[in-house]
Amino acid sequence: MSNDDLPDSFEGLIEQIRVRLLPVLWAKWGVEIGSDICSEVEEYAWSHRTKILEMTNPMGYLYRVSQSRSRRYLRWMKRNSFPGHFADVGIEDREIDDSLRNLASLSSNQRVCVLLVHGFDWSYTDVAELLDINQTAVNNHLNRGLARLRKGVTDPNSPIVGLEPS
Amino acid sequence: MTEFQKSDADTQRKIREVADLLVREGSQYRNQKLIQEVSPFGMMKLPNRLGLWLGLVAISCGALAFFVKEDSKSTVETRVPVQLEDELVPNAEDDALVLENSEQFVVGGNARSSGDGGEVELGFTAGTANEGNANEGIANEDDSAEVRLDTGNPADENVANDLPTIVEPPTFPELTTPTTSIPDEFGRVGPVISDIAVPAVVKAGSSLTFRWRVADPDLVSATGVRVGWASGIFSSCGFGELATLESGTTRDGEWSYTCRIPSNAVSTVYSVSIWASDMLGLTSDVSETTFVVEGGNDDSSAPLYTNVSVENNVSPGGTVVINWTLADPSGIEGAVMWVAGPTGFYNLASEKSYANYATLEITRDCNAVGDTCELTQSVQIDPTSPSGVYTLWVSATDKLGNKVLEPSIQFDVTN
Repeated sequence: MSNDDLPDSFEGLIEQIRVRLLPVLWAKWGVEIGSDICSEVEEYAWSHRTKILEMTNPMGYLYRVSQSRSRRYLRWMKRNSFPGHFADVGIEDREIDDSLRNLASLSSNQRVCVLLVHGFDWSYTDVAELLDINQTAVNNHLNRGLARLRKGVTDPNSPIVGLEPS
Repeated sequence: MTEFQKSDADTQRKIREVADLLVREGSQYRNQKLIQEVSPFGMMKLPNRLGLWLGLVAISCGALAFFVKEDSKSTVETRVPVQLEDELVPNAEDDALVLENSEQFVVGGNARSSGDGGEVELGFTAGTANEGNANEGIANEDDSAEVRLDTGNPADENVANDLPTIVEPPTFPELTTPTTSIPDEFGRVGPVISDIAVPAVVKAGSSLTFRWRVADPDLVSATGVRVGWASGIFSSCGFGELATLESGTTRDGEWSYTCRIPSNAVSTVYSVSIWASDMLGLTSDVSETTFVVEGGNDDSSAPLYTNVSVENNVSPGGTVVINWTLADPSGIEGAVMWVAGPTGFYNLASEKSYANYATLEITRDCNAVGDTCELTQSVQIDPTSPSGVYTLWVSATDKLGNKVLEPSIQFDVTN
């Protein structure tokens, strides 16, 4: 994010949270929890708006805030909340259902990188900046995530590894 | 393309589909939550918490102010210009200093009036003097100092003026809560429709394909087309037909819709309205264009209605009988008379229609060709309908879809 993109008002900050941070939260924690965490982050942003508006990477900071806020949503038996309860209600499209299950089997960082880069058309730089990691790490997460997804695609009978009970 | 590349492209396509699904479901979830929170009982989580904190701050300030006041009251009592050993305690700081150095301070315990012009003598007990004393807590006469309050001194009448002013509770900056209106999630612009491709002339009985492009960063949820002409709509290209995505994505893609033009379609100029809405519920400006149908039916006129008659002075709850004649060379498809009251078709007061259409009965007597029909309709005027002048609206459609809907005659409803 260039300096020109930095929000100069609370309204701009909220808009950036919804445009840039919300997809990350959905990708990481699923629809319901991601949305709820986003609401909490918006509250936090309101409470600390003066400080946050002066930051050079406000979205990165708020992403860290969201990680802190996510703790109470994730019980020890249920560390994986992706994609959310809406998938339990029923995805009629079997293919999308499989895709969701395959994505759920990835680590959260792999899933975030995969979805941001290939699903939301983010650049590596943007992903690295928001997650506060370097681009090499983004590349590693992405390649490992895609490798696991390819395996799931080419071998539909392969067991889904790491899918915690939901 | 190798098998690996094929699977890779497949994977990317699926990831994009999942991303679209997340946006769709996520937006829906947030909107639902927002509606719940904006409802009176779930009134806004964020301002609630702000309000709670503000309330706590206000209570704290109030308590602070109360104790400061109470403290100042007790200070007033103890801050009377006391002459200790003929030396006035000059101000509150000194007084406070005395208080710090004392553990007991009996005010007025030994007060007695000397009876000489309002001069009052107070017994003052220095607590330090009583330390280790078996009579601790009881003023010791020996240790008491005679102090004198000369209330006749004008300076003493304004003792309160000598007190330090009560510190005002801190003022907090006014908090402005964020807007409670439903916010735009990702943008404020609805879908943009462009590149509309519609054939200028279409033969009746052929298929017609509309193509257009819709771009929206918030993902297009639905887009479609409405087709009609001056006096009707197509049943096959009717209201709100949804298009299918031909190429591109829901962010920016080409959509199409194909409908069949009936062989007996009216040969006239048709208007095409293309609309789109996105995931946030934002709608596009309706794009309109036209095309011409050739080789169809030349009947572009709606059924002609004549001889409308109705009983007058119907009472609420009574049944009104309407007779009228319809004629159309293409044949009559359907017809009904709608009853409109003072506020239209719907009675806002009773939240019901002015007529009870559950009791609607229509009999049709058509000639052999079917191009002319005598119709009789009976319908009950709703008992809650007020008296007044009511209007009958004719609604009739011919077999081609030419339709008429307009007010005809009036009648009175009286109690």
